[in-house]
Amino acid sequence: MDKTKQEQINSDYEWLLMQNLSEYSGEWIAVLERKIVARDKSLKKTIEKVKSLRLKTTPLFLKVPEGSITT
Amino acid sequence: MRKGDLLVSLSYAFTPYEVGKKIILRPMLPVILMKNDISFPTMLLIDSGADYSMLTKDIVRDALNIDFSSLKKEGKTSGITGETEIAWINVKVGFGQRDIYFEEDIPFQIPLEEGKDPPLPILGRDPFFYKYRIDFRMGYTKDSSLGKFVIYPEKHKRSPTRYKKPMKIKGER
Repeated sequence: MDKTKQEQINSDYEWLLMQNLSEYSGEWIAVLERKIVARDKSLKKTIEKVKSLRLKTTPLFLKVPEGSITT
Repeated sequence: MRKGDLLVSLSYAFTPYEVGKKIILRPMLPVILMKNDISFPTMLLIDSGADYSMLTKDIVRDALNIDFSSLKKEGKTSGITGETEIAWINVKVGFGQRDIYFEEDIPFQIPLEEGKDPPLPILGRDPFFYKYRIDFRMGYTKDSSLGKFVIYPEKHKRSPTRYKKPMKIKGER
């Protein structure tokens, strides 16, 4: 595993903790270098949007859940 | 596993989810899921109440590129979304911090029926909790909106003979 890649994921995870993601409720988001680079209700479309950006690093993908407390 | 015999630990802040007027803290672990030549960075909910791990269908189909028609039905499971037919797939899970990094082969359940996905992908007890001890420290600070969970690799140094007897159920003779 590329150490830089893991550190990038951890850094983006820590950044996410500080964000209000309520506007993305129910959506998949892709985060890279402390920016949300793609979003969509569908993971497939989120991945397609990320591919079209031709990024050098794969972003961190996260589903923002809607309204449910229980898991 | 790397550095398994050293005193190492990984600390993560809980992820706060705003639900109504309440803040719910969830132990979300940033990981890289690896299958064949695909790497998918995402977050898994560490769920000590789940017997096994489970992925959502979209992660399996769209991110890991697995053809559902190739999956074999291997029984049923029941959870908060009800009972569903499941398949199993093995996925390598990588996670770490600084110069500490672990990889584990984890069998994941895949719900095969529509509407039966867990709200979040789950890292359950078997086999993860056999390999790692996880401390949930929600009261780590006086601020109830903070806290951390800490992951330690198990060392397996104690004798298993002390623990091999099953626990007696109350009322049993």
